[in-house]
Amino acid sequence: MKNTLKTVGLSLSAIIAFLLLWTATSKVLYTKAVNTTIEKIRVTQSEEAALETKRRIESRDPSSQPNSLPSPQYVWKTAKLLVKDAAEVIQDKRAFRKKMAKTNEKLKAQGKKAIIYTGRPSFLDQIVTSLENILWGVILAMCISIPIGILTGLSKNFKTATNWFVQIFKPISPVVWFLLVQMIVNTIMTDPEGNNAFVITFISVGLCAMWATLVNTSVGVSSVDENYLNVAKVLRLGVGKKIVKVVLPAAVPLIFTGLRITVSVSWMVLIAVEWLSQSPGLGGFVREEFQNGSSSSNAKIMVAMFVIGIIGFLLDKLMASIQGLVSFEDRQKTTPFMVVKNLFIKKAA
Amino acid sequence: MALLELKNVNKSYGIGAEKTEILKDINLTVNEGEFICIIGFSGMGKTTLINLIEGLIFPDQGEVLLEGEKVTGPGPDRSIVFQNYSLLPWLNVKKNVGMAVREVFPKWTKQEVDKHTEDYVEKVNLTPALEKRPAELSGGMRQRVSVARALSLAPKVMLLDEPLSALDALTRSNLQNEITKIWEADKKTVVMITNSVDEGLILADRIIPLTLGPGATLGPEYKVNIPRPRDKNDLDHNEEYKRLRTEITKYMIEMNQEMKQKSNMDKFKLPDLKPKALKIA
Repeated sequence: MKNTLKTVGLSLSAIIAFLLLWTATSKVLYTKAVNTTIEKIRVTQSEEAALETKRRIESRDPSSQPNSLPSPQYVWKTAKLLVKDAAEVIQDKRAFRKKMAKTNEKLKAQGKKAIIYTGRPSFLDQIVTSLENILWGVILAMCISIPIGILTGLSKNFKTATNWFVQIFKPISPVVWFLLVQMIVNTIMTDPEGNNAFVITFISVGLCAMWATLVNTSVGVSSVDENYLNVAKVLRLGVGKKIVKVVLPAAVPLIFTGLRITVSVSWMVLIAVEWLSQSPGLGGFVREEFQNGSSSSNAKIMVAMFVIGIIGFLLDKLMASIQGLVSFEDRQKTTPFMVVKNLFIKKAA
Repeated sequence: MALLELKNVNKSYGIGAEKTEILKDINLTVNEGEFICIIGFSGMGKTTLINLIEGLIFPDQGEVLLEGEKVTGPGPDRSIVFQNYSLLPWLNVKKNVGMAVREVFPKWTKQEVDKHTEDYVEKVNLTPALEKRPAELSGGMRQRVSVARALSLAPKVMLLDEPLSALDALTRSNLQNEITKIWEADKKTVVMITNSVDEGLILADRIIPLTLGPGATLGPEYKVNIPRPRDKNDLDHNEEYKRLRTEITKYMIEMNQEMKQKSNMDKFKLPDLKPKALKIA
């Protein structure tokens, strides 16, 4: 109990210190931006125009504020606005569905396509899209890296043959993967209605993030405890049975360690890849706000930054709990209930 | 006919100048239903001997015969209990034993496999722990699972590689009693490796010391003519027990001293030199 209080107290004071530093920095930067703007107008236009700009900035008119680091208060206000906006969009969608229900039934009966909602996506929709992207990315990474990892772990020859490939492709930046995937996907998928951006995004993310799982699977499979292999020998298990019943289960903890890294890497590169591929999602949201360039855009980018951080943290915690479930070294087996409980305790801290 | 025979078995590791002879001229005959204890100091090739019988490694010279046939590899007819349990940590007790049973009796139905598995877990008194995983069990319990697994395979010979060495004294003596009971019920042929003279005297029909290496071989055998069932508490007053215990212990200690003398002779005498005082010019 005392320890928990200490943890909470220390974390809270660190957060307060961070917010104070942020407020001070944003104030300094704001003043500098205001001065620069006014000075520029004074030089390029006239003294009157400069005074007029100064008056307008001081009147707190949002459209004439200079663009700099937003303050925590402003970011918080923007976050609330985004939530409100998301609620509105949800309502909008519901109303649309109600309105179109009958029409769509008719269209269906006639064998035509139903009319779907095409309004702008809310911030919440962007988050969901990003999560979908990362899900497919990780699934793709698993599908490629686990089988190859098993093969490299089992066969020295296969490992020697593919080692150069792994070593060279592992450190490649997500941007380059994106370009490569784009070249290929855009050649194959020529349908203008097709969702190229989504395909390019998840493939790039998958290729970029799969290496950790590949290497870990390979190590896990090739370093199975001699004692377990002796059991297989004494029971005279065939090669297939030995792999399925002894080697793979023994490698599971390391495979999941790899997957945990893969998920964190995926989330990290996802935002950049979404930005580049013009895909919807948090990366797309950040890109749009960046190009928009108003003072509220900066605040929205900051909100997105925090949301990305928190989701990344939760994903890592989720993978850590799964890792705990499959590890057989622990004395106590972690139950899903404990996982959820731990998650909340850690979040509070 | 002898069930298990080792004829002039030699085994060394390494090649050339690095070559170390581990076992030399090992001759051993084990009859059906016998309980043999091989006793020796650590690092003298006891485990190598067990691995040779199991077929995990092969002799450089000589041969290992089971029922007159040469051993060509490991198999469930020589089930083995390792010192470090060798249970699969992701399976619970029932599955650890059951998996082995299913492999050795592939024609059995699931019910038969389950029944057999549960019977043998019962034999080592672990029925309450059937659903537990190895990590949730104590060392003694894990070793009992390992014994149950080895027994359940209906082996011709059971090989026990220091099965009790990693356990504390109390657990060790409990398990000795359990192994005696199980053995008396089944009369399986057992070859056990141990480093404890007492353990050998409680369990074995014959005790054979392994001499000190390199190039260890089997010493003179000691027949243990103590009536069964042997109770550890009564044994302390048994004359035969006392005699054998003194005799074997004496043999082992003498062997150790002889070895030490031998290795002392091999040692180089260091010249008595003193470093010159360094002068700083």
